[in-house]
Amino acid sequence: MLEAVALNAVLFLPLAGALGLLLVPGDQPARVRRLTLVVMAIGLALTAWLYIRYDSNAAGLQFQSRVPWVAAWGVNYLIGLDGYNILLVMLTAFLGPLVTASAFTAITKDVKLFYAMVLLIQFAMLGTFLAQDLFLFYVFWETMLIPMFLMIGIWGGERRIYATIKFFLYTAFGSILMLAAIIVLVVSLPGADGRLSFAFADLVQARLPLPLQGWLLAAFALSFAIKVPMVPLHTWLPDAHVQAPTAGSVILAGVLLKMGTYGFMKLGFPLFPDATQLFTPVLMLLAVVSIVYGACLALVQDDIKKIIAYSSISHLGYVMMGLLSLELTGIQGAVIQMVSHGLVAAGLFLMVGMIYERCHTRELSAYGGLARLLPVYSVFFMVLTLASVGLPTTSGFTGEFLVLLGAFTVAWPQHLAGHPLPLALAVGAVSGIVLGALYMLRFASGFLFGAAKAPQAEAHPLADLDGREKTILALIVVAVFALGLFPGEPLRKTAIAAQQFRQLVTTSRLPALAP
Amino acid sequence: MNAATAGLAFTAMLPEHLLLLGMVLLVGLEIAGRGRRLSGTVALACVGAAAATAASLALQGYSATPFAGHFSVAPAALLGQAVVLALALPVLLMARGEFTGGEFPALLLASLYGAGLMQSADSFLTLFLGLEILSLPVYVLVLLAYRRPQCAEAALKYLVLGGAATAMFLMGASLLYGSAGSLGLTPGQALGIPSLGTALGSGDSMARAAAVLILVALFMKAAIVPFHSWAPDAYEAASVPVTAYMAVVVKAAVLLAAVRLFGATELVTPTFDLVAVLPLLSIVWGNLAAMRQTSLRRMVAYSSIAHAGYLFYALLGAPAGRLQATVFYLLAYGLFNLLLFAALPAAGDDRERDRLPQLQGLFQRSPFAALMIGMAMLSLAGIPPFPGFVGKFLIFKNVIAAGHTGYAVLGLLGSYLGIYFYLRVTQLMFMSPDSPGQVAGTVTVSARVASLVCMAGALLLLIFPGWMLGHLLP
Amino acid sequence: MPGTLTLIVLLPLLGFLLNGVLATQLGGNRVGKRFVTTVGCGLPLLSFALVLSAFGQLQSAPGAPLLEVAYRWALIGNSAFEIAFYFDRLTAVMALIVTGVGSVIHIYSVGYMAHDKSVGRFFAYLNLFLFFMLLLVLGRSLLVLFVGWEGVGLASYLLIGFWFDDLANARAGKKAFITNRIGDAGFLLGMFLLYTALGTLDMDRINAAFALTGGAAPAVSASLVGILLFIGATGKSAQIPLHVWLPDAMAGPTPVSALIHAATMVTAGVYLVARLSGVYQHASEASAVIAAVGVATAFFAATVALVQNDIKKVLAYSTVSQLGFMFLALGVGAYGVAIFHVMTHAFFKACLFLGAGSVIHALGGEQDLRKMGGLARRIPVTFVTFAVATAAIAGIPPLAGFFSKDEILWYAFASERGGSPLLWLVAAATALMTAFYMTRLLWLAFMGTSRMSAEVEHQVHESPASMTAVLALLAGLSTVGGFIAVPHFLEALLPLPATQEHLHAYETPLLVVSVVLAVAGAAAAAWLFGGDPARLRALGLRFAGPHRWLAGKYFIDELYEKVLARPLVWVSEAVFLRLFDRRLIDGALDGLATLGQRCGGWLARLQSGQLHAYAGLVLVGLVGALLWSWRHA
Repeated sequence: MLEAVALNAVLFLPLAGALGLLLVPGDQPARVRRLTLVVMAIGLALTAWLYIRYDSNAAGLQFQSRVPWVAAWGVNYLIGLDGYNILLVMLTAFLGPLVTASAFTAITKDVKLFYAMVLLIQFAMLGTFLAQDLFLFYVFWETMLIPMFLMIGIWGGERRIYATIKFFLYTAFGSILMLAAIIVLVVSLPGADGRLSFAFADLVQARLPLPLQGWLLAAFALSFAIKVPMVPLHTWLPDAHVQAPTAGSVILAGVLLKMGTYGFMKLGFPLFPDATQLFTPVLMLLAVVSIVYGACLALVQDDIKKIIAYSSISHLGYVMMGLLSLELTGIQGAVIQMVSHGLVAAGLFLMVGMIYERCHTRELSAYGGLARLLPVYSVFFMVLTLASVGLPTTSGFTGEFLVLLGAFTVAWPQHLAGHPLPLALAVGAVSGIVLGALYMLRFASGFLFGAAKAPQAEAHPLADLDGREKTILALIVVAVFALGLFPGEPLRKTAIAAQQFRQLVTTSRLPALAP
Repeated sequence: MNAATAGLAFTAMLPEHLLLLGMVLLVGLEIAGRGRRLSGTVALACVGAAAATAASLALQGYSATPFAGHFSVAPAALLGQAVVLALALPVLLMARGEFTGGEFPALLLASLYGAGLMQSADSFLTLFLGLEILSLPVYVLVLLAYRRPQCAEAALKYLVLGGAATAMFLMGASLLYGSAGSLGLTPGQALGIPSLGTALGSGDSMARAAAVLILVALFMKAAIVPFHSWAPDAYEAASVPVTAYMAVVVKAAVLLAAVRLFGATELVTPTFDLVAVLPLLSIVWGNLAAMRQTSLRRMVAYSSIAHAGYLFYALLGAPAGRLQATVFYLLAYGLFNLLLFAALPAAGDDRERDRLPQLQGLFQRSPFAALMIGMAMLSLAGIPPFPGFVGKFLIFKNVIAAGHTGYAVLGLLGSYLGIYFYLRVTQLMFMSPDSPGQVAGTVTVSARVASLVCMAGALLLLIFPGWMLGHLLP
Repeated sequence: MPGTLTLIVLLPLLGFLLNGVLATQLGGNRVGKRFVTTVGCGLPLLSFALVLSAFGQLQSAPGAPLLEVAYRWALIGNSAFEIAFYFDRLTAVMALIVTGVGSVIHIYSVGYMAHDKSVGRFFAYLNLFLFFMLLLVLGRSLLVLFVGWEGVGLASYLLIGFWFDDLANARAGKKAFITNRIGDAGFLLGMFLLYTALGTLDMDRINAAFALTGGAAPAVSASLVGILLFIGATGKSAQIPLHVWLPDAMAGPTPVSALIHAATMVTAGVYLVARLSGVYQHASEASAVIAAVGVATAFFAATVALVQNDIKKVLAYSTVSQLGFMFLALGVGAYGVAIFHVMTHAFFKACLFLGAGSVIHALGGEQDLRKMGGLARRIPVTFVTFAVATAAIAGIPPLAGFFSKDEILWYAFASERGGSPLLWLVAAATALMTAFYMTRLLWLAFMGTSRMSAEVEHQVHESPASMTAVLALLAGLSTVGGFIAVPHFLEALLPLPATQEHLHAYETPLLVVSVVLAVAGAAAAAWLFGGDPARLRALGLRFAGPHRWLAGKYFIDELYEKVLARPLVWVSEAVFLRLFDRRLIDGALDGLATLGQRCGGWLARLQSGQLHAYAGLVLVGLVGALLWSWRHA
């Protein structure tokens, strides 16, 4: 009971904070920043408490609350924690304060509006993860776009308008078709009393004929694949990332991209198991293509933000791969990989922001030998680089290892049974770890090593990280290693969900033939 | 006419009576030369009272038939009327800065009287009366804010095309009469043609021609492609409150009338195609054409053309849900349209105020206006969580439930086209630098009140959509 | 005592954390050099002591390996991944080498790095390396081994690029890391395959499973697994075709070259194969491949070493060559012998590198053999130790190298598991060349007249005792190390392959031959470089072509650059980025956007303002509607 209250608090605190900011006079940015940070910190504390209270051995929703919203259509305000979302909610809450703190010095224009947007995004993201009702989910899913649209558009770089409109229209297109699919899905299966229901729990019982399943999954998949993003629907990401302010990039890479993979795991695949079985080869192929393609593109970028952006495409390919393996190891690895990427990419973007604040350029070729100029910065950077490469003891390894192991354990028997494709794809995915090392070390070596040079360094010596920045990065690094060395606990939290997921997706739900 | 019917007529038409009273008072004030100060307040009071009465009658579930076969009230109709009247209130508020004197309120009340009449009409005759009373004052209203020759020209076009619409309606009605010998809408005393809907379906080509004529007349009033062309010019020419009135109240009245006309009949081909294709066409057309506009009011005109398309889509759904969907959509659409106009800061002259570039960097100048307009834009674009989305969702849900998935998907894709130009306005206000030349646009107090009223209504819709919808179910 | 193994591993980690935080900018250089060196050397020595005690435990209970489960890393479904340590005789030998040689090299570094400003970072890295190396050696499951495997790669990357101000060093580190990553991909696949087939990654279990079924039953062929894992080994142990990184790795400080790139890390591949001998015993094809690659690498690297002028480059290629010998041994099933050679090689190669380091130290950073000469009198201790080690690697009896190498040659010749005269022939030729190039190195550096520039000349000095003592120790081990009968010690664990009966007669003659070869090689080098330089020039002229190839290391780097690196970049840049991303995808989207805009403009223009136009539209619409409604009569 208390937990349920706390969960609602976690969800609505950011919204309340955003409204509270309206009361703060605009000429006091310091107070605005402090208020936001406090709100985020409380949210994190509550979430951490819930994370501890969460019972790993219990199936189904925990701490749920349900309020009728649009009774006429059986739409409820229905939220709760389960194995699917708990880690992602934790990740979101964890990144909240860091994002807030990261923008203290970076954002000086319209501070109030900015933090209002940060809080609104936080609200929408938490809502998307927590929602257990399709209508609610969709509302939060779309709401997310608005503050992000403004954040990129107002505080972004020189081509921000193009980037933000591209981002919005790209995502909105997927959403429109998903909306149609949602309506068709709900309408096509009224409950016993002819009442509609949007509750996930009811929808995953749906029995639909194959062609319909196919169309609906296609619509859902389009929307999710754009968010992930999967090649070839990825071209919005580099622009959005490069133009967005640091905080925007962090939110984008840290949480927003997980929405796509989460959507696949929570909705796309479980709702339409038979269609999923049908699409798996194609999606697998796209996942591997994303892994390799993203890595190759990251290899030839000179804009450091773009390198990380393309690396995200590659890393999320692993997540898709793990989910599609439909094998416990792979699924759990995928979840860990989501969190890991959330931490690592967020950390890298934060660090890019920090150097950008000092040197005002993102050209890789403009930098060199930062290990001399900014030793502390370089240590953190190297750690995150290695985590991104997936070096053992870091979270990146846990994710990639489990995902690839899962994919392979599925692919090998199929190969023996005479289906070579999965194995070929698994091997292709393994090649990603080489490419990953290639582009990240190209990045890191050029960035940290060699003759010391940095724009405007000669004018005034660069200041190394201050306490605030150190704290932010230290927190991330600790999390990265915790997830790398002791993934046992988070894995237990998601174990039951992973089993449910596999069970849902692997059992056919075609309508029973009429006698 | 005995006392019973008289009493019946009094209660049933109480909203209309209040409006009438208002008109009389306004004229009186004008004569007394007090119009300047009081007329606005009086009008507000009367319309408010009328809306309240209609609403309360509706919630009591009051229904009566004072003039059998011509005029009868039912909760649903009353609620529709209440909505139309309520939507007129912000118009009155924002007009206070624009118009001094009694003409505007008087004309507005007159037009509203017609709007009310339409909601309860049982015969084509009554309906025609309502339609005319609704429209005629608007022609004048367009001219009322005579600022430049274009106004007169636009008003003229509006008048001519409106007249054509009237003619078609009359023609259709008389054809129906000719083929059926009755003007009845209700089964009661109808000879073979219980309603327009069946006429549409009937094999008798004469009847169908009649039905199509009436339908086209409605299309014309609601500005559905290809009968829309008067709208952009008229909207641009008229002054802001009048544009708002045309875009919201008139459209609402016509749409509700349409719902009443089609009553409880499923649409069948061939007319089904008309009601499906032409609205779809206007969705696409309106959204595309709006992209390149530099005049805010022209843009709104095109967006309203698209919205008329969504609204007619409601007719594709099952009859039971039509009224609910239409009313809810009209509320969402109307509230945010009014919000847009109310929050629009005054600038140098009317043309200046209308120019889109005028909105550049608005957030820097007046954040309040920018936020309001921004929300209006996003809601009109149908983006969650704003009510505009719930409205669209409801309409398309009904369409799909009725089995017309193809049209629904096309309609949704059409609405996707619209997103761009709504975003463009937001982008201008928030993301473009504040150009120094801009006059610091101010929002008059009454306009602020108006926008706050709209915002409050919108929030209610946003947080408790269920409550509203619950009451709209027949 | 319980927790010994865990402690062995964790102590160096502690050292890394202490030095890494306190003795670097990260913690603001809180501590002085003394603290750094005490921690940096003390903790490795401590874990060396612990290894000894563990060794004692092992001996007290023969046959029963020590086992310690640190914690459970992950539990998925019902398959658990545990962090467990496993200590049997093989582990013992490796751990002793790692901690023992490791510790002395740490001590050596105190003197060698005395004048380096970031000595704290250096010792931190060295400790980090030891931590991962011990993880690799003590790990029970392939997972833990892989963690160590990647970890030592990281440490090597950091240490090669230790002097990162010169981008070349950083590049060398990058090259090492990435080349290793390619191998690791193979390693991973092999690991996955084993897991899929056996459901476990514990290596003792894996060996048992294969032993149980004679390699038949598991769902995977031993050879496939063997090859995949061997790919990993080629990366880590610098075998063809992934050998290219090791010579460049010499960019790192010399103690690093001694510790990581000679004594320990590069032998990880050998350890892996020996550890999984249970698999390889049933993988005849894989074994054949290993033997072939090994002997080829040995020969090829030796040829390159013949003509290098950088003292460390010569040693690097000799390392590659010696590793080739080890794999040859593995390939013919003589796992114990391979480990034996690992040990002796650790002794004399460490000694050689540290000696080279002492030379470089003495000459103030000079590494070019052509600018040395006549150092024997100037730095006698270094010279003597270096000479001993040279003799050892050349295989002069009774020094360490002689025993291990001779056994390898014998099994290459006579083993029933793939031994053949051809293998022996190539290996023998390699041995000859080894003796030759090592003597050449010795001569050019220490004998003859000095070719040093004046200012280098007068600052030449013998290294401090801390360094020379280490040299002496290692030289001693190189002398007596051969009498430690490692193969016999490991026989219970790694049985030696049977030898073909009819060949037993050859054993003694071959032994003689190999000694003769060693002496001959040495003599030839002495004759050629000791005598009149005209001979050398004449020879150089005669074999100018081959010399170019050898000096250019067969231009393999250039080949990879052309065939792999450039095409990859080109495809990414031109095809993926420009064509797909920019032209096709974004091009199409922008096209649609402009199309929409166009339509909008066009429709807006229809709004001409002409009343008759409007009326026309209405008319069209009306008529159209009527006709449509009549169509269905």
